[in-house]
Amino acid sequence: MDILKIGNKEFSSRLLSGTGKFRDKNDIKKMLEKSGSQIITVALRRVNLENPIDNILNYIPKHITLLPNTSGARNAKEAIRIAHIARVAGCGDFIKIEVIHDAKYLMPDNEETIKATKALANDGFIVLPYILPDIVTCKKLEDAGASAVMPLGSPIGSNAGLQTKSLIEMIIENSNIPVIVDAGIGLPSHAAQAMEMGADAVLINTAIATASSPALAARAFSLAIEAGRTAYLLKLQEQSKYANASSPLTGFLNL
Amino acid sequence: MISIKINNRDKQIEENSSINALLEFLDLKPSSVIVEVNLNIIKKDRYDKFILKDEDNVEIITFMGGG
Repeated sequence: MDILKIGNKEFSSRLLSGTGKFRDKNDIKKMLEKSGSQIITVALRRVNLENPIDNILNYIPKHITLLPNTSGARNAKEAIRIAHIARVAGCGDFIKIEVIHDAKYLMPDNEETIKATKALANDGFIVLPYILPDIVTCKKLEDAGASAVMPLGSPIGSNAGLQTKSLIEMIIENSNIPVIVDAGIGLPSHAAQAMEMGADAVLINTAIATASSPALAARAFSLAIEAGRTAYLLKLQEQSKYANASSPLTGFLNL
Repeated sequence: MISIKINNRDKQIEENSSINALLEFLDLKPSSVIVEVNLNIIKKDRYDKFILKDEDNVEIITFMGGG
């Protein structure tokens, strides 16, 4: 069995999903059933007192591992505070660190992310930091106690695919903890490519949640992830500049 | 009456109100929210006994969709 281990938990699915942007929150459960995804992200926000919305946790089956994110945090201190709130609220120990103060590209602040990772890992959290792909940052995160790293493929919600491909390849080659490609995966082929490169998992939210059928889109992504993973394990990646005939170039019929 | 801040807005509430009473007043289910008072997270089993004081800074938080 090909198992993904993050912190103290084991998973058979390599698709992490998100709960943002769903038109109908009831689609979240269908999406999880159809894709087999076992980890899902949620966000924390102040209740809008004039118009309170349903708690998203009511739409997530209990056996799914929650990965609350620290979105809204602009520095390590705020990320740490959000992580503690999530844990007290019963979300478990998993936390996706997201420290962002750039509203245009939503690029994460790697430096503050390292600080938050260190503090939260020391506090017993299973920390998954969202980062701009940088091998030096990844080593520091590993030393700080991160349980995985989540380099971005392209800006959040852009569906632009693996624009950071070569940087992510460096991370995969050198990381001792799982590498989960997060953000920008817009097509199943992007997900397959990430897995073929040797990523341990991918996180997809926008492309699934905004599809005309989130359940079918999730299925398509999970098939692509399985295909890419299998190809990686089989090492189906040797390339050549020249052709290599599928049948012997001898014994041709005399026509 | 006492004045407190709820999610950064000024609000007048009855003296000796517990967190549970406040949530009822705001029509919020205790099970669906997280409450912080002066940056301290209050555990749900204390909502009934925790009495709010004048000038308390209350944050009421919930989970929503995110990636």
